[in-house]
Amino acid sequence: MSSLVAPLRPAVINADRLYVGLGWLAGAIGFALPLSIVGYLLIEGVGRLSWDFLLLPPMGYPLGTAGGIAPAILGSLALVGLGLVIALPLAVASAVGLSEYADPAGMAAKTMRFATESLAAVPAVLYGLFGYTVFVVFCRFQISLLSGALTLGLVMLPIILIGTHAALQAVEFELRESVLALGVSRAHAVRRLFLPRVLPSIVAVTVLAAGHAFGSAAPVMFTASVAYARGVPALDAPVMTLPTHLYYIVSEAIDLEQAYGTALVLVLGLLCTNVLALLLRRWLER
Amino acid sequence: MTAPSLSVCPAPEAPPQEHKAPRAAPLPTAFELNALTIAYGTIPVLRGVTCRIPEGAVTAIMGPSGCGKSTLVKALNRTLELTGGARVTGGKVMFHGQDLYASSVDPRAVRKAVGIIHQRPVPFPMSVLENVLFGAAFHSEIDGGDRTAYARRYLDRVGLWDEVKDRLGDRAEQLSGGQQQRLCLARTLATKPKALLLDEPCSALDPAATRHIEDHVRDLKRDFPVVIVTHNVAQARRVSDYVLFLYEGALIEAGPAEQIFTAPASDLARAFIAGQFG
Repeated sequence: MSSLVAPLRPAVINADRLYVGLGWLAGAIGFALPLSIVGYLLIEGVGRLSWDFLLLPPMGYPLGTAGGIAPAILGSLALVGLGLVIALPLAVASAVGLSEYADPAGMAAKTMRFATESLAAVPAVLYGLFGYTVFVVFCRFQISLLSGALTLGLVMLPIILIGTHAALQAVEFELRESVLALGVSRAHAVRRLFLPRVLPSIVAVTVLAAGHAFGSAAPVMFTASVAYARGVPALDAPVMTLPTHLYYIVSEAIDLEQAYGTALVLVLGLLCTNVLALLLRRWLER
Repeated sequence: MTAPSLSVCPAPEAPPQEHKAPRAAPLPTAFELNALTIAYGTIPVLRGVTCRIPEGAVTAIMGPSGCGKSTLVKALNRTLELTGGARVTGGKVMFHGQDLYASSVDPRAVRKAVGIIHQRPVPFPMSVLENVLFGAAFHSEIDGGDRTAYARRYLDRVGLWDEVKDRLGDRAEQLSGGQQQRLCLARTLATKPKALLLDEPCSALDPAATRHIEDHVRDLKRDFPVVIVTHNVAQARRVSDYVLFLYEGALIEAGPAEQIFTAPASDLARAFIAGQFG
């Protein structure tokens, strides 16, 4: 006598198993890839990691065979930090304007959105050339921290703008309706409710953008970086950066071990930033 | 479908419950709607509604789902236009003789003067105290006074003070659904509205919380006109003095509650009240 609870067809069960298996495989690849990059760099580069490597400028002849990468770390941090000071307020303000004030069906909003999305897809090297033409040559900022920060600001702007805009669009209509139904101005609602609500998303997307900028060589290559600099970065002076330093010592075949060490610092820096952002986000969402 | 003949809510001869609001004269008009027509995009949802909503009474807007009840009530305080695509395409809404849709009128001022409570309570992601004071602080109603005392007045009004007095600093999301809805009511009352709209305020609440809200609705009409949207006939019967019955965007019947519930003039209203559709 067969049970009332008849088993499903084997084909269905097997297809489901296959689906689950493929899902796990895809997930495992996504997990293994960054892990193997970090692992590889750890194996190759951890031997070079030392306080001297972090705190000394490059030395030796050719330059970079000895010493450390301190000016490159400082330069990269200064570029991204200053770039964020420029990009973050601009991007958040634009996102608020686009999401809360522009008529979503109007031409202006549609054009702005299209332009922003296009901007996010522009190759990094074009940002570099644009920054060189506009900031270095036209504005006469020279190859300097300022020119590089402005260029990196442009790189980060569309990423932060799009992420913030998407987060604002995801604010529930009920919340929007309830707060505006009290007769408060849109500006008040944005400041007191909508921006605090999307703050975790802004943090997440800002870290994403900053990480992207931190690791990009092309935008700063013609606008800010030099092979050697020392001391505290100044607005009107060029700086060293981690990605361009890495590019330099690899392309000139100066010292592969120094290169692995530099790459490891770059990747660990990004990893730390992401972990910090995750913690900050969790704290904000609490 | 052709629009049925529009009935006008007649001015009542005597107040319905003399012990509560002893008044000799007919209740004055709060809202006056004149051939109000509303569309979402190109789809009409309200077709020429003309009626009066009296002061000092609870007016229930009844009708089956999708008949335009919520649209009508949101048009009374200009929150309808927050919904993309919705707009008033014709007619007028007067509130104490003022055209709410005149170009000189600030919609935000309308929303402050005519408060609204929505279906699902939406506590703001902040403390209970900040929730109550949110609108009032913006409109400078507190004016440097004691914030807690100000909040207490409205939390007392909705019977919530004793329940939350030790939790004023807690996140409002931690309150129960019924408490949240009363908090939203207090938040709206704290902006000192001159009329109150309730859009199915109990649809997400359990019976006990529903009774709580209904008690407050009956109490609030002493201060200003209350308009409540409901598809629940029993609720309309419990709380309302006047009834507007809508069907497919048209006003089918309007009048004193006891008349509509005991002797509705239209077959549609009779069938709806009998529970034959909803």
